[in-house]
Amino acid sequence: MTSKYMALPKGMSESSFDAAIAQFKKALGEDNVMIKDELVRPYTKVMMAVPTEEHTPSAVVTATTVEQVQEVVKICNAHKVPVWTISTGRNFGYGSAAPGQRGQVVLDLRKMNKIIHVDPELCTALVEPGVTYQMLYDYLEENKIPLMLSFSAPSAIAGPLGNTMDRGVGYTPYGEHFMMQCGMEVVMANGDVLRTGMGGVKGDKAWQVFKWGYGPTLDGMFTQSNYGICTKMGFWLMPKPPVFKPLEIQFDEDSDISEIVEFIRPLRIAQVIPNSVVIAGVLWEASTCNTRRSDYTTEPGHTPDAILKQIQKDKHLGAWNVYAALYGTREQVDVNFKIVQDALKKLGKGRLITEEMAGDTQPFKYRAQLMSGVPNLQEFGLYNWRGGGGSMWFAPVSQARGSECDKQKSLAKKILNKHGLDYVGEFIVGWRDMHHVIDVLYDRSNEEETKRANACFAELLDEFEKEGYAVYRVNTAFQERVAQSYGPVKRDIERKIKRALDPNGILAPGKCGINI
Amino acid sequence: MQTDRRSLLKGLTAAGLAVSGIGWAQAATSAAGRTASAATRSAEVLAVTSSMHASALEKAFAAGVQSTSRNVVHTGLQGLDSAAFNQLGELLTDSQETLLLGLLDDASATLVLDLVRSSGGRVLAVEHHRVDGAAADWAQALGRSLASGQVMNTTTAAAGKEARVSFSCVI
Repeated sequence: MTSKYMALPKGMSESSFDAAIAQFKKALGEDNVMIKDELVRPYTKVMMAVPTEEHTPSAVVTATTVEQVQEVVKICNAHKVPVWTISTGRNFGYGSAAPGQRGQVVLDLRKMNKIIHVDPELCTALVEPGVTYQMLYDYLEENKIPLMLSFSAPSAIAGPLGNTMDRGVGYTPYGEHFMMQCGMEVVMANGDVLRTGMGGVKGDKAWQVFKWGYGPTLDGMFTQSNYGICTKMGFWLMPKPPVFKPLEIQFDEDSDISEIVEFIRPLRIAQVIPNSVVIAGVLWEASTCNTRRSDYTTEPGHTPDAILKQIQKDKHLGAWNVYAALYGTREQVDVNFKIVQDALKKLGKGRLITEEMAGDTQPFKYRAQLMSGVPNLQEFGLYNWRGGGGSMWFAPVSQARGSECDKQKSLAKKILNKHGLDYVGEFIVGWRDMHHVIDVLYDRSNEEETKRANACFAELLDEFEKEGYAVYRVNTAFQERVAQSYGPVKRDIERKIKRALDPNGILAPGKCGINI
Repeated sequence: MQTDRRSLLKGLTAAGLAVSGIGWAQAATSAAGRTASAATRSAEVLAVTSSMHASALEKAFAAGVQSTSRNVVHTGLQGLDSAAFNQLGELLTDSQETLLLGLLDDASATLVLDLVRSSGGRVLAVEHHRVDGAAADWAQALGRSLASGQVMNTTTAAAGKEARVSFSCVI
């Protein structure tokens, strides 16, 4: 018998689900409840190397107000319907808009897209989930507010609330986004509306300026979790500096990574270089300036090192390409630039490239934009390197220590190449940590390659874990696996919290491995 | 052609979208659930290709679409310029129903298909291809079949190194 739904919630009959859908329509309006294949299909799994059926939603609902979100959770509780919430749904390579598990209802909050407040003096913002960085950027520009955004690379179309809730990072001095978050509004599973920090104080004006409030600070537990639905988020914005000086330093050898990290770390920790510096490998940079693997070879398997060297030469790239920026007054920037130059001279290698030298060329241009808060989409070029649209981010954390980064890079490259895939990676320098971000790119139209990519990703997780490394974020197909890396005690506590806050387990079951 | 669409197309061109084959018709919008062929007969068709490689595939695809419907606008995405995508997003969210047919590289297809999703569009078909860059006949047949609402038999595609995504959506 054919169903009118692409999938059903686990263990639920079609007639029971019909009743829930009827209530959704009554609460949200017919147009905000989608069940037809052609409307639901765009919310199915896109880039992960697993069958689409495993991440097919039963329905998609959109809400426009907090009250409607409260209604949704009420209906979900009444019918035991699991709901997977997305903000803009542009978490490409981590799951996009698809639910974590088959049959979950997607709650799409893209229509809640109000910029509620931007304070140009205190340099804060309060936004709803559907606000994109581009919308916020346009708002700042139109209103001539001299503040700067920090965002991830799909900047123009992603949003600050979703990115921060997933603990994403950017490339400016405010690049650790959760660190800059201040105040959340969260709809709990029972329909209560919680405001974190100072937000619960009647008449308060400090919600967006003081993070901690009183008693336990709760904000963190709502990130990368399924304990509530965030409907508003406050965060801090950096004042636009009078002078912005982007820099690139190219290094010719793959083996230079250790020395690069030792060179950068003291400058970063001392805030001489205040932004989240990127150390990008040659294939990352080549892909973003419109280079395709098929331009060089059509042989299957990983791309030989000789070709990587040729690309490096043809595209005027380094084996490693460091992007950093200086911010401040002319005097501050000049002083810090001299410190960087002196450190580089002492290192004895690396070509320093300034904006004047790079001109309008890519990838320098988009990197400079990312470091100065100008949205762009250039990094989507990664998907054209191999073609076929498969992408899974493998993002282990390491110390900002040369030997550790070298070890991670070598291990990742060995495993990727073994599976016939390329190392397309970069390191994003936190203050003391590295987000080692690797795009596992594969052709998802090729069934055999898709299986290989899945096996590769699993092996990366396993082998890195053996060395004491774990990822900070992962696509929805591997959430359960990664949760295991963090140990049974943490998982047990997470489960207890889940049971207390969401006894019916309606909110995104399985997200980050958390279930009732 | 509606004035707002004309100005939008002008904006698209300025932002990096090459536009050709102008022939907008006033759309006769109807209830949801129309098939691609019905939409083609009565509404506008927007064919989207990648311009950055100036491949024969893209031109042939657009010609195939245009051979089946009179009311076609062909836009060529030039690179990954965010202004162009933002303006395409605006086009997708206006009230007029349009059949969107595309043959794009993976990066552009990812962005366009997500714009379709986030503007409440309907995705009728998506397919990945590996084709020869000179397979113009194949691309033309693909454009024709998508515009006429038929399922393309991709086994007829000339196998090659170029990765492309074709799609058909109602927006």
